[in-house]
Amino acid sequence: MKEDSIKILIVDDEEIVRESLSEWFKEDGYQVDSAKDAVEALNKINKTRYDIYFLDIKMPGMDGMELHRRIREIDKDAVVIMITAYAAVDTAVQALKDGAYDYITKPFDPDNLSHLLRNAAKQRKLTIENIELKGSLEALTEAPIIIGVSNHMAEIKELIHTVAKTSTTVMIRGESGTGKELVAQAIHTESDRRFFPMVTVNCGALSETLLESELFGHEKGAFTGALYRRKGKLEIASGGTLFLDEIGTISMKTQIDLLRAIETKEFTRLGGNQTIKSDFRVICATNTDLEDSVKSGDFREDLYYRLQVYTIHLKPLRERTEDIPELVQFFVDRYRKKMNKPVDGVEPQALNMLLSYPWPGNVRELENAIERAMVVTKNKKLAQNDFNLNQMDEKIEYTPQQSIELVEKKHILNVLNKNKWNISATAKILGIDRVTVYKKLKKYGITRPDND
Amino acid sequence: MTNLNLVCLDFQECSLLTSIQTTLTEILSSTILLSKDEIEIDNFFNADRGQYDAAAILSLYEKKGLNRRTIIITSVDLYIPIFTYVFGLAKLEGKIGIVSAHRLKSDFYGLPPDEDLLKSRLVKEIIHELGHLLNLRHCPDYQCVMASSNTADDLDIKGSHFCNSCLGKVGNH
Repeated sequence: MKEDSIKILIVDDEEIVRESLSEWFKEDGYQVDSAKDAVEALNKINKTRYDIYFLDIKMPGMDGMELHRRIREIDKDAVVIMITAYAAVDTAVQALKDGAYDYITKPFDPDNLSHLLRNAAKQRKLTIENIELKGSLEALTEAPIIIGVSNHMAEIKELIHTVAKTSTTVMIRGESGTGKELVAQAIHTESDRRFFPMVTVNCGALSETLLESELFGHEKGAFTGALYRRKGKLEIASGGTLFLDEIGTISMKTQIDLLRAIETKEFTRLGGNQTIKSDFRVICATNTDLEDSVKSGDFREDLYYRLQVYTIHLKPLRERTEDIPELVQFFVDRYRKKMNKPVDGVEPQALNMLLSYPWPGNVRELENAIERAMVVTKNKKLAQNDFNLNQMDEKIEYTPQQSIELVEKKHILNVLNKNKWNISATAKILGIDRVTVYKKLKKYGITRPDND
Repeated sequence: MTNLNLVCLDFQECSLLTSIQTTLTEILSSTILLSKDEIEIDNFFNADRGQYDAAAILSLYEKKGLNRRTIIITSVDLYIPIFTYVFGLAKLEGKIGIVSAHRLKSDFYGLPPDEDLLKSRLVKEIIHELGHLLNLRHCPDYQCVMASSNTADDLDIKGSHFCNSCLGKVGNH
């Protein structure tokens, strides 16, 4: 913000003051406007936002004190400087208590006025800069978009909203690809911790020692290859959120250390003695049955209860198919922008196909399917043949009414499809020899699809 | 650059006039016409403040109708109603400006008289007010003569010349 972008409004009933100050400020490169009384000033303020106001305290009609209060109501960050005569210093002090930036007494010392204006302009610039920076920070920490019109998604949004403001440990459960990390991100960005980092650790991807080092950090020389001191994710997440994905996979030893760290918010780096304090909030996710792991003794019961304080259970996509059309449109829009391709939706037949598909990979699979279709399509709308859905993964429904022959037929067909009709591979999986496979195909009238 | 009338009004430091004229001619590459005015300056005296009203003096000259840019130099202490003092005064794009030597003298600050310093300060102040007549605003370049200066120290820090940016703006005049 340069001088010429700072707007000053001078409100004084004396023409000489208005003119002299205007001229003086213009010479310094500011944009200056003036008003003879409060009414004219308020009319001007309604049309233009000024940065700095010079208000004479004594004016006919509404005085400068009241005008100051009105300006504060319109713009609480405005810089207001009161103009006063020596006799009215008490009033000027009251104005300062009401939030005025400063006051000057008539006649002004030119040097003092210059300094005052320079400081006032600096204050205004900092305020505006601060507002802008906060705005861009808010934009950076904008909550991720959670798509879905189903009742289930509405409940999830409500659960996120409820728990976000607390520091409670949250467990997010759901199949792979249902958006557990997205929910964790939403909780983080809705919480007061949003200006601090959200640190994600994929527990399943790391070996025990590597995970411990990732979580707690290590001192130089703690183990072979520990050439430098390294901060752990628990330490980095201080003030923010620690998201532990695939929590069910961590080893017993790490479970003990993690439980202690979560309960005391204190830990030591590997190979270190110094106790480190960190204020982190834990969100964890799992797609496995933790209760089974607890029963079998693979997961500590105390840690289980410590993590299970507030649970959000995400339903698989096949159980909330009403969300599919909106998700499809969202991903089409996303990839249209990314790929700069003029595709604006899907054909009704294709959408029906997407609605009937069981989506074992959930939303992640849906996104990948749309991305692939967007790559191959030559049309404005995605058609059925643009999709290459992994139908082989379709779950086979077994009901008590089905004969063993029907189940066998379905199973053989499924394995064949999965192995691209490779008979040897199919035989190996089914545990029968190739000749038996051929016999069964003949028996059930299964023929190789023409296009293969 | 521009021809300038320099009018002495109750200016006591007459010995400096020729030297000021020469320096201004060199810096501005212009003809500087010297003259003396005998108006009754006491009419502009404010007994409460012990100072002379610069704005009122300028108004009087504006009424006269000037065909050339004019700077009045005086030795009396100048003020405008809202300020405790001014070194000089000129309206943006006006015809007339005024400069006072009163607060530019070293002895005003209790120091020994220094004619060279006074001349240098007067030259800077005259060119500064002329700059305003040429529609120049204050310049952020602290060495430019158009830098804002409310104290004698400010005046001493800056130079007597327009910076390239200001020079570019007055190029047509």
